[in-house]
Amino acid sequence: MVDMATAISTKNLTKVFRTATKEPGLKGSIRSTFRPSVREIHAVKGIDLEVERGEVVAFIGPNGAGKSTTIKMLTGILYPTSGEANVLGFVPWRDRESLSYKIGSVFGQKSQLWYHLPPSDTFNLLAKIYEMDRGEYGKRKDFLVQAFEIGPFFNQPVRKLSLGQRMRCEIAASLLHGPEVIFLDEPTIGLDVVARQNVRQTLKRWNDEEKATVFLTSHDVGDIEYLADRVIIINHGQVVMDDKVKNLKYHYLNKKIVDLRVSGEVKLPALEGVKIVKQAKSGLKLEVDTEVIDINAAVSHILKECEVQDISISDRPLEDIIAAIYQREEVAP
Amino acid sequence: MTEVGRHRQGASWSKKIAKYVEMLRITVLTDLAYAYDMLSRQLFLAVVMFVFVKLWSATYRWEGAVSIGGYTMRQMLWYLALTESISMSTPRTAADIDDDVRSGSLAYSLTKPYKYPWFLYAKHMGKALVGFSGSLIIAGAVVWIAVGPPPVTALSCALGLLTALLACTLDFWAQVAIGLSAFWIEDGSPYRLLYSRVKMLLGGMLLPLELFPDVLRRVVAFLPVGQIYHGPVKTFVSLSLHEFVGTVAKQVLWTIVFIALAGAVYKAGVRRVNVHGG
Amino acid sequence: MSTEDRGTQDCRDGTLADGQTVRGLHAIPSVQVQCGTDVPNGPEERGAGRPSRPPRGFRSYASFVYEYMKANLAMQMEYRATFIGRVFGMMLNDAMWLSFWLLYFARFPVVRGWERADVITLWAICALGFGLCFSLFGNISRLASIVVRGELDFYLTYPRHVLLHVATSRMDPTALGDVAFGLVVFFVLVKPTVTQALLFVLSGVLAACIFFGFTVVAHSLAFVLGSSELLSEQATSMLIHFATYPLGIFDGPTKVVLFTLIPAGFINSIPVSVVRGFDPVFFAGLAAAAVLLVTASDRIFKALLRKYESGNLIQVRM
Repeated sequence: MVDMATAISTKNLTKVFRTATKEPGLKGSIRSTFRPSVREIHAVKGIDLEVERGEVVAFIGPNGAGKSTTIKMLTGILYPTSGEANVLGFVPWRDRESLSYKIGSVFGQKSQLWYHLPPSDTFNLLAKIYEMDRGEYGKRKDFLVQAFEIGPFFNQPVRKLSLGQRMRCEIAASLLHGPEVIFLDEPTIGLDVVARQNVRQTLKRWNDEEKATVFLTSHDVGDIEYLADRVIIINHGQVVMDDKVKNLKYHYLNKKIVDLRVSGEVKLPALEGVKIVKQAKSGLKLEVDTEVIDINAAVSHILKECEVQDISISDRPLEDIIAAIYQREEVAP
Repeated sequence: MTEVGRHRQGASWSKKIAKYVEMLRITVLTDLAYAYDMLSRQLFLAVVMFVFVKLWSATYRWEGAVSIGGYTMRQMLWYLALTESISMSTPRTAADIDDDVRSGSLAYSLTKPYKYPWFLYAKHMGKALVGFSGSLIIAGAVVWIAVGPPPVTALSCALGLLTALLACTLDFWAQVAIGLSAFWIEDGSPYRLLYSRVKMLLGGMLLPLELFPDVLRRVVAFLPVGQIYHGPVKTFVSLSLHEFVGTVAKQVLWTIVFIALAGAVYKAGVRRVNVHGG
Repeated sequence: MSTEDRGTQDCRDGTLADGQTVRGLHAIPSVQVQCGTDVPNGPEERGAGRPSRPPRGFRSYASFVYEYMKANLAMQMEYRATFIGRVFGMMLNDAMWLSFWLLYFARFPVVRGWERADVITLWAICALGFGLCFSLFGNISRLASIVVRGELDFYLTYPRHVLLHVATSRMDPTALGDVAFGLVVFFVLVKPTVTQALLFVLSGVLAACIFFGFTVVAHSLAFVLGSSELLSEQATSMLIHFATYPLGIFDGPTKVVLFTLIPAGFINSIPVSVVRGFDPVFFAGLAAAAVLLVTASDRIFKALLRKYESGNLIQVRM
């Protein structure tokens, strides 16, 4: 029996793809017909996950890390090679159809909206697909139209909507049947800054109210920072980090970036824990390791040595941190 | 929430069917949004029919015959208007499936609570319905001007419509079997082309089966391709109850064969999604 | 060759994703690479290398077209299975139409003086002419959309005859199927004499000129009308459709159209007036029509090029 507080759990989930490699040329294809040479690709190598109900998890990793293979196994599209998974009490690949009523998904750039028809038509179709009652559908639709602010263009053909409007409709459509777990694959890809912010805000607003479990993948660190409670980083088919977003920042934010604008000559003596990142004529960028030297001490030292016109102290961007985690794994797989 | 979910899983048959009906409706809507585009695309059909009118009036005059192969000129030209309309409006479902398999859309459809083949069936019928109506307006107009109104009765229309629906269904399942071969084949277009050309030629799209050499006619009359154009159109323009019953029986028989075939290919193919990845 | 839209559908409009990468403008950069590697002095370089005397000679252009041919073919060979599939697919399509006529003539030996051999010859000539035209100049069937989308920019930056450059930069692989079909059918089924064979090939070339000229003119409408793609395509389809039926079945007024607006009459009288019984007057007329159409198409294209509006169209890509 599965713990009712758990939405997703996997144990040693593994997927190996076997692809026949074909040699070039006619001779090669004849040879490979009789003796196919099979190449094994270990896409996912024994992943253990535990996601609680109501959690918003960012599932990230570089391209080819095994993200989408994992999601495809969790939604029942793919059979795993070995291992176990449980989503809302179902084994996805075995109970795919039953599970499909309870999960929603926005998959990359695969649109489920009908391009030449208004979103309202797609919503009607989806209501039928998920076998919703008329009353239930009406209520749900009204809620989502309001939450995602799609009312003004709900009856306009999709082709006339902007990318941001379309994505909001797309997400709302996937929430129509009240899924308990929702898989969002790159919900802000291709959007401009304003539209991206807008999609994030509506998603946040919706989930504050609905408290659904969200499994989010994104290359945009902003999405993760804004939406996720927890981040799971995967690389080469393995989980390389699984932590609260807060902790991630805390652990990796022991480095501060100090930007200086100075007048006159810069002559900064070597100081342990302070590294010069960039130096220009009247500007200086420093990285301060707060585990080695206190930020106060570092700054007062700098102020003493240079004639500072302007100073700003900032955290290291999350983007850098994640890149560093990827790269570390890249070096030692 | 769980309550609702469980309730949905055991939903009634009417709800199960409603989703496919809605799919059909929405396909019709989409295709109607294109109506103007579609009609102008099919204007070429007017040229085709014009040439047929010229060819067959020359043939009937040269032969000095009132009836050829049991068809008067009016029946012959309406026969061709109908077969051409069917041909022009046959949805390219096999190509769509090919696309879905290669793009991975088929895999994604697995996360939705519907059966992919039946969903496509609803779409296929919706497209055929709109397309056929559009084509028939154009082809029918040319032939009407040339030889007068269609030689049909209320009964032949009703029965013709029935066999036409069955023909469309038969064609759909054959296309599913062909389209799903994309799981194994690098380029499916030659096979689709082969199917459509064999269907056109042997199915009696350009020439009624009655004008074929005897042996060929007997063979084709039994094959599935003989049931797609010739079966229904003959029922429309020259109804014989005896032939009608035979056509329906053969259509049902071949449909069952192709459903079985497509089902087997689908099962094997979906298993292959796992091997392919995506 | 496909006489109708539906004939082209499966084969030509790229139902395959990889088929589409074989063709179209995206293919152009790799064509250049191919030229560069095959011949150290690719046609472009040669033109650019001697700015003082732009290359306009026949030999220069012949080698230019030849290099493009080679590159186009090499590119098709990158997707060999697809390529072969398409070539055979088109032969199959043509065979279907020919079979219709064989079935027809099995039932009606003669129609308006036309016999089985005449229609086979007609189909062979049409296939050969159409195939030659679109395997050498496959891009002209996309000319209207190239104009409308502003993709002509690419060609305007080169020191070459624009129309010729656009035309040669894509090959329609299915057209090679037509060429093969035409040759096989004529030599196997008609069993011609040497004179007939020569006349056949010559008529094929002249038919190709007519297909070329008419298609270019039809697609040049895009300069004037804006998005004329559909109309232009249908015009070409119409020419092909009329060309593949015996001229004898048409009445007077239609014949007038077929020798003027839609010049299919020049093609579908070839079997009777050229191959069966040589009629020098008709043949001279055919040659004159072919030369006139090609020249006119070049002039018209060049004149309308002034109206070219480049890429001001916002493209919606879904």
